[in-house]
Amino acid sequence: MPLAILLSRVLDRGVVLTGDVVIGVAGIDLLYLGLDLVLASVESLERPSDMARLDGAVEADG
Amino acid sequence: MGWYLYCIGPRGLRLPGTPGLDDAPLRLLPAGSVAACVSARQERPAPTVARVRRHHEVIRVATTAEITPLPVRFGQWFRFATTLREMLREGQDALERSLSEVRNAVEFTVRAWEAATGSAQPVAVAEGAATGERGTGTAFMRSLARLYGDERATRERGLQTAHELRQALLPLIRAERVEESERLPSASLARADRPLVCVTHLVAAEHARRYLDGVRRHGVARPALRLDVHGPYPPYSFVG
Repeated sequence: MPLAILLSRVLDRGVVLTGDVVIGVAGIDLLYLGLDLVLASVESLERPSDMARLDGAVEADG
Repeated sequence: MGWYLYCIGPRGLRLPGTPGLDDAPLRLLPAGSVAACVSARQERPAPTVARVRRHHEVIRVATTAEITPLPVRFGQWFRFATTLREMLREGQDALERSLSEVRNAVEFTVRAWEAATGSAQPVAVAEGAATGERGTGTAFMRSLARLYGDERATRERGLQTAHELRQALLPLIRAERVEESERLPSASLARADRPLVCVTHLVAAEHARRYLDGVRRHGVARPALRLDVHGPYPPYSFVG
């Protein structure tokens, strides 16, 4: 699954039992920037070499 | 010890044969007529791409020919199992309805694109220079009005595209979710093609092949459009 599509589903759709859900990924706050903008950034990082860099970067964040 | 939630199924939900976030073992937490797939976790997980992928993988593996669990949005963590059980029991009727609606179903997303023409930005200076209106703001306002007109026309073409796609695939579609062009990711605007509409369809798993063939036939008959189809995926878009 392309990363942008994965993020848009897993972070923005699906059953919500509690209002206290994730509000950011990769250090970017979805609450303020909006999911579309995050996806815009992520879509440009979908090349394999960039993906490895992104995974490393956000792992370090996490 | 808290609990991280991946998906919700009927009581017959089987434990997925894959690890959870950060390789934590999965467990089933029954509550009334439903069961939740969870893993023990001390605190709410920080979202990373690796964890988002693992969350999705658990849902994918939990889905079987007999049971389509309800995918849960990333990041839901409960300090106490009793709290989660209470929420599941309270929402049991709605959860059962959702389980029934997505039973043996998958979702596909079709993005429709058309070739972009002209600039997507108002160009006051260039137009003003050509018409002698430079500096008055009139050229800018005219180009802005044209831009809004273009956006409205794009939106209408997108909705028409969604309608035609629906008509072509109607016997195979259980439910539909349409995102208009103005809500699509802004990165798309930088591409040579312009996003028209994004349609997500809920389709019976047994009809997945026929659905894909139908989308391809629909696209071939409309060379001015490019249709990107993604799926099948768990029914994230139809359980919220």
